Order: sequence, then structure tokens, then C-alpha cells
Amino acid sequence: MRLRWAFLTALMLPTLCGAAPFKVVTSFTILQDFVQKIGDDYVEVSAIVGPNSDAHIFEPTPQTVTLLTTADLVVINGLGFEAWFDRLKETSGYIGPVCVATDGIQSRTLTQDGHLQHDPHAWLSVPNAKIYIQNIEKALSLLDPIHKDTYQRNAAAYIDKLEALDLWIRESLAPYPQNARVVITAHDAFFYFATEYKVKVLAPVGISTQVEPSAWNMAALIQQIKALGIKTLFVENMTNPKLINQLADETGASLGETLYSDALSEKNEPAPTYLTLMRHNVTLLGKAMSQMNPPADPMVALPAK
Amino acid sequence: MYEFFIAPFIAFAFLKKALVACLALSLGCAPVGVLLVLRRMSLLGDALSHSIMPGVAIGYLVAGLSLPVMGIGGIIAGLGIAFLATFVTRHTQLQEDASFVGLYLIALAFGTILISLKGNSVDLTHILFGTILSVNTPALILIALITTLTLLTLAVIYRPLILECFDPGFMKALGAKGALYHTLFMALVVLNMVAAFQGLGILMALGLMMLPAVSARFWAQQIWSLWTAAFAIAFVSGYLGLVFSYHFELPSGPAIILVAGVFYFVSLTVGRHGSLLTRKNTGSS
Repeated sequence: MRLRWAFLTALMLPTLCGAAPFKVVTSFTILQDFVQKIGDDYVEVSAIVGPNSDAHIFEPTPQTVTLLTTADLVVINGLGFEAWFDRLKETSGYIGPVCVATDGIQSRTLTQDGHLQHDPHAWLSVPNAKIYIQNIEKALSLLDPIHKDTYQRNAAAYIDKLEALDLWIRESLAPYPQNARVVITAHDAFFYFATEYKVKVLAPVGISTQVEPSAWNMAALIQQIKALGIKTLFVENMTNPKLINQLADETGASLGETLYSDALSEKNEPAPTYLTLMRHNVTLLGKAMSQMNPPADPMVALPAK
Repeated sequence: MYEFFIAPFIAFAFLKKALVACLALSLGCAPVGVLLVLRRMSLLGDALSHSIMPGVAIGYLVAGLSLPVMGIGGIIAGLGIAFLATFVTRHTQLQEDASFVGLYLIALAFGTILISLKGNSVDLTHILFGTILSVNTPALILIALITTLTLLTLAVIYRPLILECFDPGFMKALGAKGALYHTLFMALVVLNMVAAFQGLGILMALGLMMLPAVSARFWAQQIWSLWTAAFAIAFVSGYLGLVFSYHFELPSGPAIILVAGVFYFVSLTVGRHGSLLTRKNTGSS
């Protein structure tokens, strides 16, 4: 029975591809944006976890299952970001191709609770985003070869834009000395960004949004904020602002505008696409760095235990 | 000694605030917790933490991610569920725990559906609830206000409430308004818990309310001495938990609750009344 269906679909494939768009389901909004930029009119893209939502704590609904069953291709981030995906794939019975966008990216690993974990937030470094684009383009061209030329052309054009963005980020942050390139955010999502652009990013909470900090972490951060003369602290969309508020209270620093890290914003907010997201974040970070008055000595003493 | 136990609290304002929050919370929650244990309603807190969901969700739908609106919604929902449960208990054959279970499950399901109306996955309780390290001045004032209100109300309704606890039938025979006192008490429970959830998170709020109360049972037999013991255990746990959290880099909420847990195990092993030790010495009873 299944074989016959497969045969029938295969026969119909050429006609189908002409009319119906190629259906791609992505796990979250940043991948959705990437696929849209490459596939343009030939693909129909949706994201399982929508704008301003937290993929760390997502729980699938029946709609997500139906979404998967109609997909021609699924794109996920990988590196443990979508911990719920394997179970979802099993329940939905999806047997089609899955593209892991972080394939070939040098990942940051850390030990948490004794076992090895990857940091999934790779997209926040632009060179990594280029690898995302190449992986997605390859998958699209392979599965929908009729539009291969368009996909490759779009991907190349988008990579040009990414390179311009990369250059712009480096130029924007260039004026600030190494000891002024320190930023405090609510959760530790900016490691790849930080290594790529030589910024130090500190956070009271680890890479997942669900861990409680210790009093020691808070105390150490307060010391560093005071010692470095940091004036602005940041929260990301969809994280609990209370801890950062507490740090601000104690150090006299103020709260900056929202940074976007794990999800794009709605259309009417400042970060509806990957390019605007990066520009928005870097503009805010640059402004914060320009207000700092760091000491000459970059080594900052921690309080004695 | 000074370096270890006192210096951190002098150096950091957030630790001072956390300590004051522990003090206020211990004062208000200890008596409420003791009464809950005596009434065999120790698990009520868990049920309540789910009952507030629909209120939080409605607050979110109306005003977006506004913490005060979501908090007020939570208190209203909690009070509603508590009153309904009391009503069901009084007028049907169901016991308190059974009527609560039914209602809180409905509330939880309803709340989840309300949130999904907005179409995205946001863990509202995760955003609404803080940790003891994030307690700020407004939260502190709120907790202190509720503690004051709790202690004053308990002082006023002390006698009838205790009587109602132990012998509701006698109260009825006297023609006194037992239900009124019980309802007032339930309102206090909801107020204390919801405020504490928002300031400190569920684990902290319930842990500081219930663990000292059950430990105190092994040390005291009168209501006043139970309250004193529970308060002392709660506050010392809070203080030691913060100290350990600072020096050994442990998450604060769990550290405090684990210290209270140690008190619990010590109490049930060597406590003066009805512990393992006393039962072994007397043979039975």
C-alpha cells in the first residue's frame, strides 16, 4: 500500500513541483528567515516555535504534529537546541529528510551536571550563519532540483549581505578598547558572538533559561560591574528580567533595550529578520560600550570567599 | 567566623534584601504552615500553585507581560479556587483535599488553554516567579505587608480558628460561624503563598512554609510553641542557606530548602515528641 502511494507521488512529482510550493518546516524563527531568503517564492516556510518564544521550554501540540506530516523538508538547529524534536518526529511519523543547519560548525561544549553539553546558540556569529545558509541551500537544491539555480543564486546574494553585516559589526565595535568590551545579559546565549567579535559577555544564568543562580554568581557579577564601570545591563526577549533588575538596583546601572537572541521579534518590533536582529543587538551593545569608563587594568579582582 | 557568616551580608545589598525577605516570610508563613499541618492540608500549597494559572493567563491576555497584572490575576484565581473548594467541602461529602484536587486540575487545564489562545509557547510562571536573589524593595514591602496582615488577622481570630481546627462539630453546636473563620484562614493562605511564589518561586515559598512546620511538630505541642519553633527553624534555614549559597556557589532557593530538610531529618530522628528516638525509648505509642 505504502509502496503504491510512493509510486503515485513519484509520478505526480513533476506536476506538483510546478504548482505547489516546496513545504519546509523549521524549528524556530531564525531558521525560518534563512529558508525564506534562499527559497523565496518557491518554498512555503513555517516555524514550530514562533516569534518571541523560547525554544528551550517548548512543548509540542497536535498542530505541530500535523505541520510535520505535511512537510517536504524539516530544518533544525541541532546541538541539542531542540531537545523535543526526536520525540516529535517519532509521534508524527515523519520520515522525510531532516537538515541540521549547524552541520560542520565548531561547537562550544561545556560540562553541566557531569555530562557534556553543546551550546546551541551558534547563529549569533555571522561566519556561522554563512554555514547555516550553505547547509540549507544544499538541502533545498538536492530535494527540489528544478529550482536549484534560483536557490544557489539567492544563497550567494544572501551570503554577500552576511559578509557586509560581518564587516559592519567589526567596524562598529572597533573603536572600543578590549577592557570596555564587556556586556552583561540575562542568559548565556552570546558565547559564539562574543568569541567571534572579541567581546566578553557575562550572565547570571547559564545557557539554558531554567537554572537558578547562586548568591556567589550574583556577588561576583556585581563586583565586576562596579569595577569595570558598566552602565547598561541587558535582558533578552523572553527571559525573566528580575535578576538583571536586582543587579541594576545594586550597582546603579540602568536597563538597556531588549536584546534578541533565541527568537526573532514580531513584524512591528525591532528584530523581525536575522539581519535586523544582528544590527539591533550590535547597535545597543556599541552604545553601552561607549558609556563605560573601564579602569586601566583589565584584570578585575573578585571578592574574597 | 565574621568573614564567613556576616561579611557577605554587609558587602551586598541583594543578600541583605534576601535575608529580610526570609525573616518576613518565616514570620508569616510559619504559623500558616503549622495550621495547615494540623488541619492535614500539607499538600494544599502544591495545588494552589497550579490553581493560579487561569488568573495569570487572563492577566497576560489582557495586559501582556505585565508582572503586577499577572500577579493580581493569580491572587484572584487562587482566592476563587480556595473559596470554591471550601464551599464544596462544606456542602458535599468530599474532603478538603479531594475537592481541591478536582478544582486545581480544572484550573490548570483552563489556564494552559487560555495561554495557547495567544498561540505561542511562553512559560508564564517561569517569567512571573522570581528567586530569593531577585527580591527587590517593592517585593519586600509586599511580603512584609502580607506578613503583618497575616499576624494581625491570626491574633484576632485565634481562639475561634483553633477551636474550628480541632472540633468543627463543637463550633457548629455553639452556633458560631465556623465557616467564616475557615474562609478567612484560607484567604490568608492564598495571600501568603501567591505573594511568596512571585517573590521567591514555588520551591522556596512552599519549602519555607511547610518543612519548618512539620519539623516543629517533633519539638513542641502547644500552638504558640509550635509557631515559635517553626519560625526559628525557617529563619535559621533561610540564613544558613544564603551563607552556603554564597560560599559554595549553590543555587540559593534549593540551598535554603535543603538546610530546612536537614532540620526536618534531625527533628524526626531525635526530636522530643513522637520522633524515632522517643518511640524507640518508650517502646511504643
